[in-house]
Amino acid sequence: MTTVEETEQELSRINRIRNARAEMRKIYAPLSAGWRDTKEAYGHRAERRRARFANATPLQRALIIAIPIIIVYVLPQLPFMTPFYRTVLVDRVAFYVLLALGLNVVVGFAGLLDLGYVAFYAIGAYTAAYFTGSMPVQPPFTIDPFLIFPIAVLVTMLAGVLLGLPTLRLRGDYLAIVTLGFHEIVRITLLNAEGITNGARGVPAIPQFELPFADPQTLNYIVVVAFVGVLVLAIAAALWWRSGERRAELRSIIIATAVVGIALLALSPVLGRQLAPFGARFADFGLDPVPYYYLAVTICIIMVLIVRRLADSRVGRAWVAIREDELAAEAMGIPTLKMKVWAFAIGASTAGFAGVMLAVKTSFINPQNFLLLQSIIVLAMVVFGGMGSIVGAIAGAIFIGFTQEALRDFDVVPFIQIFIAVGTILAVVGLLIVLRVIKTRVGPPYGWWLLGIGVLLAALSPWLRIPFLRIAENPEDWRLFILGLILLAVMILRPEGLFPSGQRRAELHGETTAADEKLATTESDSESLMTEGSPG
Amino acid sequence: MPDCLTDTPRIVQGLVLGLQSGALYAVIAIGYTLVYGVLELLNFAHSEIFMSGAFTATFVGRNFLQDEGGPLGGTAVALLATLAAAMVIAGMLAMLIERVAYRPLRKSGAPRLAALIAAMGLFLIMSNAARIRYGANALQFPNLLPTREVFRVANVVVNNKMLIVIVSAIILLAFLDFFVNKTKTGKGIRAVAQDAETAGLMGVNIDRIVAITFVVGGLLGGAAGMLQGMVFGSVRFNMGFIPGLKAFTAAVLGGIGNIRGAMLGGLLLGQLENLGTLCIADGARWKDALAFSVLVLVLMIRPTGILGQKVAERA
Repeated sequence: MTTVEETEQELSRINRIRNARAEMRKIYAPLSAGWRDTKEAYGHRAERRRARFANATPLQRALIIAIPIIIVYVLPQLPFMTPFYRTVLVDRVAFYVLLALGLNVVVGFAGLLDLGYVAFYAIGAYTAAYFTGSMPVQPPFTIDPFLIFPIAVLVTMLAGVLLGLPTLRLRGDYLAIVTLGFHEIVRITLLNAEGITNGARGVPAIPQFELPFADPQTLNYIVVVAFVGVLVLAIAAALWWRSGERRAELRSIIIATAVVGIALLALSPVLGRQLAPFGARFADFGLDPVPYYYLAVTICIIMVLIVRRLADSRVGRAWVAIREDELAAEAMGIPTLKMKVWAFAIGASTAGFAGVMLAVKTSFINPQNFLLLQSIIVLAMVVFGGMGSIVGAIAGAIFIGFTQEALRDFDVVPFIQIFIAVGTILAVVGLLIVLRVIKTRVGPPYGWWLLGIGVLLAALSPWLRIPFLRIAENPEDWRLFILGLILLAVMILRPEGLFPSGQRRAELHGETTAADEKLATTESDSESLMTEGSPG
Repeated sequence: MPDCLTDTPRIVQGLVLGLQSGALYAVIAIGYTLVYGVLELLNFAHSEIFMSGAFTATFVGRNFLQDEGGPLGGTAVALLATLAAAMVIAGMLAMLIERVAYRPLRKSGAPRLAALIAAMGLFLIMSNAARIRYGANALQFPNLLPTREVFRVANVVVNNKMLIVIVSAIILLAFLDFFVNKTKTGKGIRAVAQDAETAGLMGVNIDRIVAITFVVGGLLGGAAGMLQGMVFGSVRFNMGFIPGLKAFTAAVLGGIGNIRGAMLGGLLLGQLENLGTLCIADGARWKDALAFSVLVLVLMIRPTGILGQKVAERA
């Protein structure tokens, strides 16, 4: 008798907890959905997450979209952002995010292994140098740096098509080596054609962007309105393009845009000139990284929108088909060569865009900026984050970009801080996993370990002065070494990347679907048990 | 006929130099093509195995230097011992790499791009480890064998180092050809290259074959590293990069996965580079661009390389 009562009590207790948890979930749905979106750790959860995103109200979805954008726009104004890190943010992160987004189209979507991607970056940069009249060869006309964007996009697109048309009939590794060869040809030409490119001495004194509006207040207003306008236009075009379920998502993007716009407008007067996202310095771009940051970020956001639309479009689906099985795609009537050339051209033009910004931002370029190593690093970013995943490409670029810089100069980021940061991250991740395992009884078993190691690392960091790291004459030598270690470790531990796209993951791990099903069954079993047990 | 091709001694000299560099490319290219054959993996780290062979040879070779007279135990012994040390260390390193990095990837069924990125990671680790340990400057390769002119015919000079490189390359390649085509292990390598799964069903120990493939590639890479160090007289942390790239190009040129193709590709590439530079003003600076242009052209006409039949299905 008592056992039955006990069981009933237990069941009702479980049920109460479940109800309370459901309430909590409702309240925190927008936040947790946003968090999960950057944490596609488990393939079978990715789908559920997507479903959750689709089921969320437009307002919730708008918040999920708007909050990261606002964070990104406010980031360089935060107090811990020293000038060094502002520069890093632009030169090493923002530009590389753009490059990774473009390469993700080529490698992630279309499955074309391009090892010479940085060649297009170089072509974009040298186009900018040429049309501003900075190279030894004078152009027929010089134009304002801003107007070079469309020209550079055209030029790099053309280069992509010219390289792609003859070579894209090759498959797999042959394509890789040909693109690699193309990169070397471009680099050696830039290096050796001294009469045209100034060779190894590089092209100096490329003029900065200039805006014809001197008054910062007007400028703030114009830039914000233009930003919002561009986004709304892009969305309107997309709305017109697609219909059906997508409409709901687009509506939330519009709301997100409005939220971001209003937030930025509201921030400018409140925080004053110093903290305004579009500071007074915007009028003359000069050598200050912040305006370039906003320009690059805005372009990245527009690029994300475009790439998202592309991925789901007819072209995007053709890319996936080609990536999965080119022969079958061909047999189904997909013009494979044309689609591959498109992927190449779109990737190339993105790199061209980034190239113009690099040239104008640094105002000096030479062939050393475009080594094969850069191609490898960009590819590493894409694969690191998870091929074919936009969030992955961005996360990979941010992570590797920052790591590279943080490792470049150990005096700028002292060891202790690195250890505290790493330890804290590990501890937080470990805590989240532990909580999750306690809550759902599903999840990886290493949560406690992470938590323990993280806490230890953070707590002991003042004493961890690892002397052997100082052996090198030049601490910068460690940068690429550690980058290599990271790449190797990630590939061995998580070959599908940190934030794999659900589809891609399912393809790569045919066998995990069975495990997922099993997992899902156990979960639903336990849930159904609880439901059955609940009275009334 | 262009002007540059009328000066016969220069052309012959170019041919000899081309044979020397081509022989080196061929020996390195074997490492790429063998691994590609069995695993369909571009082993980016192979160039650093080559580099480590050169460094090993440098440090081992130093022990043979004497204050006066030739090297300890005679030139031949010193050279052979250095070569053997370079080959052994490079082979062990290749096996280690396979064990630590590629095997776990292979076992977990990782996508091929993941293996490629891992290879790039290894490349960065190894070349920068050498940089951290030995600095960014070139180290002098011990002068075990002073360069000496062996014979000269009408301004064409052939020195002892060229002969040694060419002869050792021929011996190595002949040995490899015998090993792959005539021995039982070689048959295993060919079987795995053709169809790993079926080979496994037929009783071939795939893990063992893959490990042996890496070791053989590493042995040849190490030998090439030692020869390169001997010819150029210095070794540097990034010395593997360009020869690696060229050898890789040579392997693709001949048809990647095809061993004789890699030999042919290497020899051809060496000739093309050295003859091509004669025809271009300031040619040495355009040498690399020329090599890659030829590669692009050849692949456009013959997409699987000169001798290749294997077509990679996907990236």
